[in-house]
Amino acid sequence: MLYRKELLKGSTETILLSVLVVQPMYGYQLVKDISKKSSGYLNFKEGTLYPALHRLEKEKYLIGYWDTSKNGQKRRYYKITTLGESRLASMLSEWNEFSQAINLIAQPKLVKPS
Amino acid sequence: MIPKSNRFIENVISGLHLDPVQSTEIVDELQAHIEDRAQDLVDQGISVDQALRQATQELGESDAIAKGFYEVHSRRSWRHAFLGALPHILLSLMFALHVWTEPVIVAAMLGTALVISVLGWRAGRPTWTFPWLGYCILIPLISWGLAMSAVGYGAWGVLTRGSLPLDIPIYIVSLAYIAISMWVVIKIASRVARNDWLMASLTVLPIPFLAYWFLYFYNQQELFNQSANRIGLTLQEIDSTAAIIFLIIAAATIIFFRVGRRAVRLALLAITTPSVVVLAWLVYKSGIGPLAVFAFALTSIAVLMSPALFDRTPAQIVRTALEKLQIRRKS
Repeated sequence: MLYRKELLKGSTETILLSVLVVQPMYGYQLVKDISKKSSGYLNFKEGTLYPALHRLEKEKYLIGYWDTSKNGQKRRYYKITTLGESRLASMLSEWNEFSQAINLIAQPKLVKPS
Repeated sequence: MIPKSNRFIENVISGLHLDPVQSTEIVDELQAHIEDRAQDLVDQGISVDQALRQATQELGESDAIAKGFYEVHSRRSWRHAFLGALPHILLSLMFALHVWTEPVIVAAMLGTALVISVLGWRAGRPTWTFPWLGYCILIPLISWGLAMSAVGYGAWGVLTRGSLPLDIPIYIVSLAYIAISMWVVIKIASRVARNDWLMASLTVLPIPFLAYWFLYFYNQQELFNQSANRIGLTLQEIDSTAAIIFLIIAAATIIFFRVGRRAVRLALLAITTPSVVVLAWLVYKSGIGPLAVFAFALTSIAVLMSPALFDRTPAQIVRTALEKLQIRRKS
């Protein structure tokens, strides 16, 4: 569980940008979407979500704006920028290389000798 | 609906130390989250009170959240940090080039500080202007010294000779000037300290060293009565040390703006101030004893931390933020 928390901490930016590249969302909507897409595996500590969103906005990867949600309430939406899309592309590329390297190291150990 | 005096939200507000606009936006966002989550829980059959409690708990510790927001919003760009350090860099140059005695250059420096501070104040007080504001405070500080000397001289005259050595209007003007300028400085200091008292501490960062430097010259005035060669060499050593010290203060200012952690900022200021005073004492080799320097260093830390007195209480911060929130929601 601790290992998963550390992995989640390091992947926060990638996860948020990956979800927001599909459509703009507000904070609670993001939490639910991430949990649903990961089949409940990834559950964000919601208190850390908002500082992360603010940091991405400050770094110009996201734009935050207030808008009315479907149920008529004012919510702060986040939309990915062009810079955010480039950032996401480079992070996903790095992630793919990293996970391939881990699999290459871990895979032999997963194969049982006949 | 969520009661406005939700304890969790109050704790977050009082820990943010950000300007009111940013604070109210953050509070609005967090309250919206709690509302949405609580609604989902109520839809699942949980009571409203329990839903609100659970939604709040799931957000995590209010201190940690406030700290997270503070770190994100208070960390400044390299440009911002450099602009904030610039007055100290300019002072360092003035000492390095031995031009701090040129009235035109000193006037230009103080004039620039005043213009930047006034323009910055009117443009919403960007934090990089606060170090410039610190040098503006030097002007009233020096003139207080002169005005209080006049008042003290008058009091001494009354006690020893039974008469005032100067005309009465001078004393009236001096007392009025001290009162009015103190009121102005305290007003400014309280406005600067309102959101984050550490910013006010940053503003007054060079003042303890400048006070020590001034006392050193006052104590060593016989130097200026000696030969020109001896004066030139000694002044050069004094100026080089002052130049280095202002560079240290500039570096501390840059680090202050670049780090987001409040505890690190506090430690940085608390270490820099007495360190530069002790460094000056070690290099200047003045007649001031170690105990006096130790007392001076402790006093300088107290001066640096005194803006905390102007910090609003958590109740005041919360009240202001919630009032602004109500205004925003009505508009």
